[in-house]
Amino acid sequence: MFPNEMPWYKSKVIMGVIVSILSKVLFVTGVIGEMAPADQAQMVDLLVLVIGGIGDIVAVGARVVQKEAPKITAGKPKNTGMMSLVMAAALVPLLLTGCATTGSGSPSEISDRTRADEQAALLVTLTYTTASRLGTTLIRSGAVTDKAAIRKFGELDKAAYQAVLAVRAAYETANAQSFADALTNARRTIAGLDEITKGNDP
Amino acid sequence: MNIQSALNIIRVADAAIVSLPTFAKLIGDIKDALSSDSDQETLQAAYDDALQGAKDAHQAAQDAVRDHG
Repeated sequence: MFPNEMPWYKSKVIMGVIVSILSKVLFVTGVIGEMAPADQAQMVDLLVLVIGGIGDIVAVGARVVQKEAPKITAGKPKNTGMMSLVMAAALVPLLLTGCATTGSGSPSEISDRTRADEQAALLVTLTYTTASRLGTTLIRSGAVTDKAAIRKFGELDKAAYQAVLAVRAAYETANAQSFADALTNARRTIAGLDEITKGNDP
Repeated sequence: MNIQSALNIIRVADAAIVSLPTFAKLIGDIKDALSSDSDQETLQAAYDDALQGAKDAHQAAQDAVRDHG
């Protein structure tokens, strides 16, 4: 179980907050004098034990009356909220270093090379999309308001998109040199797009 | 922290949450692209999809620039 999947009633933080609020309410209404920190800590442990125990009993009861046990599968990791955006931002410069280029060789080498070229073209396209979407999100959210920076982003986005299309065109002509040049150009323009998204002057 | 800063953070967080499915898909696509298991046919199909995604992203970016720039 991930820590953030802990039931709320077993969380000492939640219980601490509840006890703190309760003690304040009781103090303000004059029911009791202000509760000492040591007493609050004891109360937290007691509440976690009691409410957690009730939760466990309910869970066991639910399992007893359940007709079928749920199938346990490995499952995909859950979307980690803001982490996806952070990961996307971190991926852009990382991916830009990961684009392979072409060269001559034996038929098997050529086959591998074709696959590597395809992978490189795909990666550069996905990297552009990530950088472009990041910039768009920052502009739409109001995180970037400087009009000059927004216009610069627009120009770089156009250049990067054209570079991505040039990679595709070079890939289709299967000319190793033009493909390598197109990849290099695409990487350079996407790096510029990434820099402006970070607020730097590319 | 003043109220304006707090509002800005909330706006960015809100936009980030709205965009999460897009970024989650992109990260998944990148992971698949980097996988050594992908055959050429799969890569070709993924490349075609990626180009369509790039076109959409470019359009969205230009719309954002037009609206805010």
